[in-house]
Amino acid sequence: MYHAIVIDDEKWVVKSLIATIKNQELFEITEEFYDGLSGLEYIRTHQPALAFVDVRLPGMSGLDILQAANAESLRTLFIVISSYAEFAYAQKAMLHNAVGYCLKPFSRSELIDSMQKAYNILQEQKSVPSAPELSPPRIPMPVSI
Amino acid sequence: MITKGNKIQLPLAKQFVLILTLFFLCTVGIILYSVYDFTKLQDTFWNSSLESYSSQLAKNTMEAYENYEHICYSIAYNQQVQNYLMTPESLKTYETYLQLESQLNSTALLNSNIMDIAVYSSDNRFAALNGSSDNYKLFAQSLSESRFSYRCAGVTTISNTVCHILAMPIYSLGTGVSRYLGILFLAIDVDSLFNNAYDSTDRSYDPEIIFLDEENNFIYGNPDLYEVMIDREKEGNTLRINNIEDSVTYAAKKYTIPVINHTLYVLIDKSQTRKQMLQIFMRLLLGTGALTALILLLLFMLYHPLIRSLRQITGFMKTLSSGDRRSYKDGVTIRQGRVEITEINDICTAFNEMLQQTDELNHTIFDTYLRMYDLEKNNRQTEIALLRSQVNPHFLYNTLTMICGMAAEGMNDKIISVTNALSRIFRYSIKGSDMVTLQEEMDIVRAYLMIQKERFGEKFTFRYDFWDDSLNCLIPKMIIQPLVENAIVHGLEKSLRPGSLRIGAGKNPQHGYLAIWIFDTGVGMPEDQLNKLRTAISHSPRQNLKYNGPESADTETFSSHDGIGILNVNSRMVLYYGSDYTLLIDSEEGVGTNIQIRVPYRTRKEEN
Repeated sequence: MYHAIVIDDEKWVVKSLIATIKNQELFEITEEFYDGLSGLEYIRTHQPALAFVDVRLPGMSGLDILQAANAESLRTLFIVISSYAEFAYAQKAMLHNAVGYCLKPFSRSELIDSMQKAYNILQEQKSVPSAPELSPPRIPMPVSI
Repeated sequence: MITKGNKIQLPLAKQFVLILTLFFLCTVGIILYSVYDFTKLQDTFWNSSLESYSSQLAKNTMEAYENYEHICYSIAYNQQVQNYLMTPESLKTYETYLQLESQLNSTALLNSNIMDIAVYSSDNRFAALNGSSDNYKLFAQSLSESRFSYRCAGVTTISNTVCHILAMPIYSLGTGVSRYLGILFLAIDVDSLFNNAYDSTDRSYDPEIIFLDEENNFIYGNPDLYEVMIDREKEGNTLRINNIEDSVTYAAKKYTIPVINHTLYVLIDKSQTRKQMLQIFMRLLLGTGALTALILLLLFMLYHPLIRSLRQITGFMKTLSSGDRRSYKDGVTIRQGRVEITEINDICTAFNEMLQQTDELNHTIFDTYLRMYDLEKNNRQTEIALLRSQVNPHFLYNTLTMICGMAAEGMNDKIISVTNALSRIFRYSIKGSDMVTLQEEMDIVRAYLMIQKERFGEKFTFRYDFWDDSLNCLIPKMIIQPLVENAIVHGLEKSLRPGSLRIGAGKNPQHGYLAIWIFDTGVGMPEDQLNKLRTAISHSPRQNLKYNGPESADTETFSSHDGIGILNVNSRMVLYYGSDYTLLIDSEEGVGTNIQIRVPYRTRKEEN
């Protein structure tokens, strides 16, 4: 059971998410954040295994968080949650190394699928301890000197 | 008459009249000319025949007088006459006298014109058939003194007849010196002479004869005519025309009778022929006049109906062109007489058909316009309906997510109120009339805001500010809710700090419209974005209605569902009220955004 956090500005959404992914052995939501900055801060410091991030957040958007995490090579996996069923968003999310893109209102199967994917990745990472972090392929970012 | 360029326009009737007048004039001209020609011909002809006639007459007269001369000679040198004259007064005188008488008788019978034969001896013995010595005495006395031969003695009346007296001296016949014995007188009835001289059956000439002796003494004829003629003779022509009272014209010819050196004038009344010519001319003229009148009548009968029908048609056409639409239906009917003209009927039929087709065409056009208008209206209504129904689905998703969360917490009361509010909102947007009062719209807005408040908690506060009677004002449906949603989604949600939303409405004092404002203290928008938005608003509503696809570059503001709110409302406002009623947007980054809606001020009471 890995730890997971939720970053969404609506408390009811959080509650709904938690309720939807009850009774499974993959992840457990331990923290809730209602704005992007504090969520990112937590990710930096605690590096949870998984983070559910809403696309639309005050201050920072979810995609910005993903971008930042990539830039800082944070190990946290992301599942993007959104009301937007637009391909553009999903594409963007996937480009930023999201594991999954789930629509609100939540569908349990959808969430489980994404969570399973994340879980498998984490298991793989574990099984190859010596190798450097086996994280999903990254887009090489320009290195600032 | 109208002249255009080198073309002349004349009504048909006038053309006919013109042609007929020309025809008449030409005919009259021809008649005049031929009459003139004819007159000249007749003149020449007549003159020559006059010439031959009068010369014939003269010749006859001449012959007559020659004849009388011969008779005189034969009497004068007749034995009996000589015996009588040479025998002096004695017993034998009576015997000789009787012989003389019988001789004279038989001579007189020779010629019917001889009225009397008289012998006047030098010793004043007298013998005559009819006349008395008184008749001859004067003549004898005047003549015996002079030497003369056969000559005219004068005029006298014997037996109630005016006679022309011819005298001849009688000389003795025989050897030796001829002795003057006496005078022989011959009395001629000139009247019958001249009447018989010409062919009286030919009355066309009817000449006047004037007979003058060698000393131009009047012997026979019309004395008045003689007077006038003498006057004119002084002008000196052989053939001259005299005019007397009653305007009778004579052509005169002068002849000399050489035998007795008399002058004979033959005058023929020319004016008779002139009168005849005039008669002919008048008859011709009358004939032409009658002919012309007949033609006129015929033409009139034939063409007047035509002209009238044409006038009717043209009159009808003119009324059409002046815009009398009813005539299209009625068409044109032309009354013609018994005999109808085919072409007119054809024109009528064709024209009426054309009118009918035009009428049908007009109807079709009108119908088409109606349908087009209906289509447009439907189109618009569809567009409006479509726009109206574009309640942000995200709102639905988010609310349902929230309900899910509430259910997870077991907050049934909240679920009940939220689901109620949600269904009210959706029912409101889909069903119902186009126009609602501000109050009704605000009810829904409050329901909406209630849901949002549940979602976001203390994130924002609301304030309402409605002036005057504004809540009773009629506004289009779903214009405030989308903008409120916009304010929340793009303004307040994005803000890190709590914000407030103020909704208000009031009557604009200057222009009189209802102003509705939605003010939020959210993140606002940068200037370029504001400008872009303002530009988009000022463009045609059609563009704003287009459903921006996922390829839209600016995903933040104008992505498929987010951007629609402002543009949607704006488009509908313009569709309803025109481009004077676009939305007014004001925004400052980090401070907030204000959107103002303008609606013509109409309350529900007015509408009813």
